[in-house]
Amino acid sequence: MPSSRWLGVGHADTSGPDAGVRATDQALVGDDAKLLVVFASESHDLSAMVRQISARSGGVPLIGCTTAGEIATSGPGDAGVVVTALGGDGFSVATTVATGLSHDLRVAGAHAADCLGSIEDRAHRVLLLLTDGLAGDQQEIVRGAYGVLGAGVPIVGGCAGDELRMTRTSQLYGDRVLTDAVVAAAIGSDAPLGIGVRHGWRKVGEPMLVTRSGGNRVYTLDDRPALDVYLERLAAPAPARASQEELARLALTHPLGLGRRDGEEHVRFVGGGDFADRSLSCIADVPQGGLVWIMEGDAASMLEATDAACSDSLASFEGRSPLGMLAFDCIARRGVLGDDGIRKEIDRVALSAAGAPVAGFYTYGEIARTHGLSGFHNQTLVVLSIG
Amino acid sequence: MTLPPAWASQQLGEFLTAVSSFETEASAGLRAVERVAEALDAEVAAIVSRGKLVAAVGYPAGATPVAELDAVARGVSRELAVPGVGVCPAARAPLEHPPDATLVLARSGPRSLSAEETSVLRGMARVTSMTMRTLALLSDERALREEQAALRRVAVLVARGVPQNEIFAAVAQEASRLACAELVQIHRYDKDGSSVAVAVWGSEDLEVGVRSPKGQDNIRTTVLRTGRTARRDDVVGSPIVVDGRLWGVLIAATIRPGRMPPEAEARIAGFTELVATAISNAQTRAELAASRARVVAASDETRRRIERDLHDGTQQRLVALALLLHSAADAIPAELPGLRVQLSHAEEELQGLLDEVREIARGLHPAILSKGGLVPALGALARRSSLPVQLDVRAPEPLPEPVEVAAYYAISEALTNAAKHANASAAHVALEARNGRLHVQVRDDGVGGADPARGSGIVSLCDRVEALGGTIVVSSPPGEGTSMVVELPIRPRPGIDVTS
Repeated sequence: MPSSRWLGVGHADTSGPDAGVRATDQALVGDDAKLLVVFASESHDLSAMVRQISARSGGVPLIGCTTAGEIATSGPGDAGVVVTALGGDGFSVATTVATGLSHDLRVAGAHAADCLGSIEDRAHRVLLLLTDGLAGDQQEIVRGAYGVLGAGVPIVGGCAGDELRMTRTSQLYGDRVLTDAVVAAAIGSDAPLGIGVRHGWRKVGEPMLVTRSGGNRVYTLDDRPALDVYLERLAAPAPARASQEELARLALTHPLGLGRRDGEEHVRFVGGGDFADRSLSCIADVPQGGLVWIMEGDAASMLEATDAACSDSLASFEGRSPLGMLAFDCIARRGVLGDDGIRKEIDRVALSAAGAPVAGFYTYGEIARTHGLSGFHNQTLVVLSIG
Repeated sequence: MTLPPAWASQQLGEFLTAVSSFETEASAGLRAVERVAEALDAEVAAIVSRGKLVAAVGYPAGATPVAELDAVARGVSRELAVPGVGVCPAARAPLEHPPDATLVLARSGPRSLSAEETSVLRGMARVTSMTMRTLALLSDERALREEQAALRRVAVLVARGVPQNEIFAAVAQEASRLACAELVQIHRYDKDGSSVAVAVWGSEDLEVGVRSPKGQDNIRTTVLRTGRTARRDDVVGSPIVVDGRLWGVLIAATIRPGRMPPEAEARIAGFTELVATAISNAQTRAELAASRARVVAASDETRRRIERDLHDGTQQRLVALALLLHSAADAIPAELPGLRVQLSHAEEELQGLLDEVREIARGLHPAILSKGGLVPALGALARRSSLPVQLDVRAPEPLPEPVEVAAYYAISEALTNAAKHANASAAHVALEARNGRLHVQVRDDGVGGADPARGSGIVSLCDRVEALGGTIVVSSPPGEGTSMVVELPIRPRPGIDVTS
């Protein structure tokens, strides 16, 4: 007898006191719920919301995080809450949380991965991670988790947002609201779980050598101040050379790319520059000694990447439709696509889902490890298709 | 697949920067395999050395198939089964360090490594080798520095001649740290094959002084039987050899299996040599002290005998002679006044000679000390002194004779010096028994400036006091009088018997 599996997505646009419960009611479309995944604007009273959701669901395991915008089947939105529920005897789920993330990202990643050992053995497994992207190098979390899981279990997820304030994000676990944490759900399923990863950026010009960097800050490129080299390469207009706001606008469509073997560069979003010490500030680690390219993209290339990511995530489904799709979409892509573009993007995702529900959020970094060990991305769309 | 331009230099550059930043050989090994896997999109990367795993990624925790990785490392196999992924083509690259190590890689997909990727893999292997070797050397150097510092600390204690039990305790503590051993014991073997614990660190089951019977089968008896260093799993025993004879054993053990480093034997061997030196020094010191005590005792006995001979022989005969002269003088007729005067002179000379003999006898050995004890003897000494002497005695009687004799001679010498050389007007003598020691102080208000090294009296006093394990300190700043402080153990000090 085939196992039963179901997935539902609920969505509430407002930040009213019952928004979480309303979204949960919509999402719980079947019995035997195994997991709730909550993506919510930080404008909500998060503590009250998770308590209400837990009470409503009867204590179904819950993980979630705050966002820089939520994604539902109907399209992108702000200040709302999106709840995904999945259940049925075809799924097995275990959740865990690791706090004090910034103290030791690797150990936290390893701890988060431990929950996989608690689920029943299924043909298809994935570790879903929702992390505090402001806590440090997220690839360290992936390395820690990989050390526990090995190559056989894909890792997917995203970094929580705070509506671009870049000061504090929250992670949700059961009825707790945390920060500087990683929450995880190990999902085992009788049906495929597919992951697609694309960004839609392309390299421009010759590579530059990172001659001095520390963590997320790049001090020199080709032994010259990084900001000067960056502005010269882009022939930046005068306003971008003097105004943080104008520089940020220019950088939004011109991230740095780190060359990778498969040609799908790891993209590093340039968050800003220091006009005093002439350094560049990126959202993730840019290793010293490596080569970087300036990247460029436009709405068309972003949307092509969206289609490709969805298609990749469904590659193992052999033509069958998914139960649902989770999208982890970089906030910087939202900036390039614009309001109209992100609507089109989610429409395309929904089209790929072929009527199945879609949920997700705009992230501060995306996680997808399918082959090899690299798993942290920037300015990228990661899609998890659940069969 | 065509690799992107500058891909190889990109990967090597990032790899070099990342791997060279780690602080230990183990962490560099683990991070190296991670970065290799990331750069080459490999599912598995591992370092295998002589059939043992150094580092690996790609397998679930605790499920790394070391034998299969080793088969690839030795060139016996060219593929690896990776759980959840399937059978993957494998590649390898030799490492110059650790010894006979190989970097093993497995990547899913049909294509094996291209020439450029193989070149990158070998480059990364070389960087990994150099980094791990450098970190191993630095670690060795750091360990050596710590070992030298620990040995130096113990050597200072040995050189200062502190009691053996303190040295043994310090050795046990230092050896525990250097050998990564939670438990350290030092045992002294006895002739019957049993042993006594003389130092214990980290164990609540054994105390210093507890005897272990012979005939057990353990590291202690193994070292006793072979006279050599022995190791059983995580217990190491190193012999302590004093002057060519097996004296005891230093045992270090860990309760965490596999944690004791291979070099633990060598590290604790340095301590056993120091322990042996400390014991040898202590034996030498004990023998020297005993020898000095014997010399002083023989000297005292000779003095006593001469004093008795003078008192019972020469003195008595001189007294008899004086009486005889006196009788003879009485019998001289009145018509021979010249003869009477001559005999009277002879009597006076004889009396002077008798006084001198008495004084010599008293100097040789104060008979009153033997008969009446220290306090009456000091009273007599004070009365005979040409200086006013204030006595302040707070010591029980009787004290052991060698202690009383040493204290008497010390006070006598100080009072003689005060009267003869210091131009003093008064002296103060204090005597107190405290904490098992007799404290003696003699102070005068003379001119000071005395150099104790130039006085033969003080030198012989030093011999006498130090033979008893005591100390003597003379302080004589010019113009501020002279003070002599003597401390003597009332009983021989307790300690661990090192002479077994």
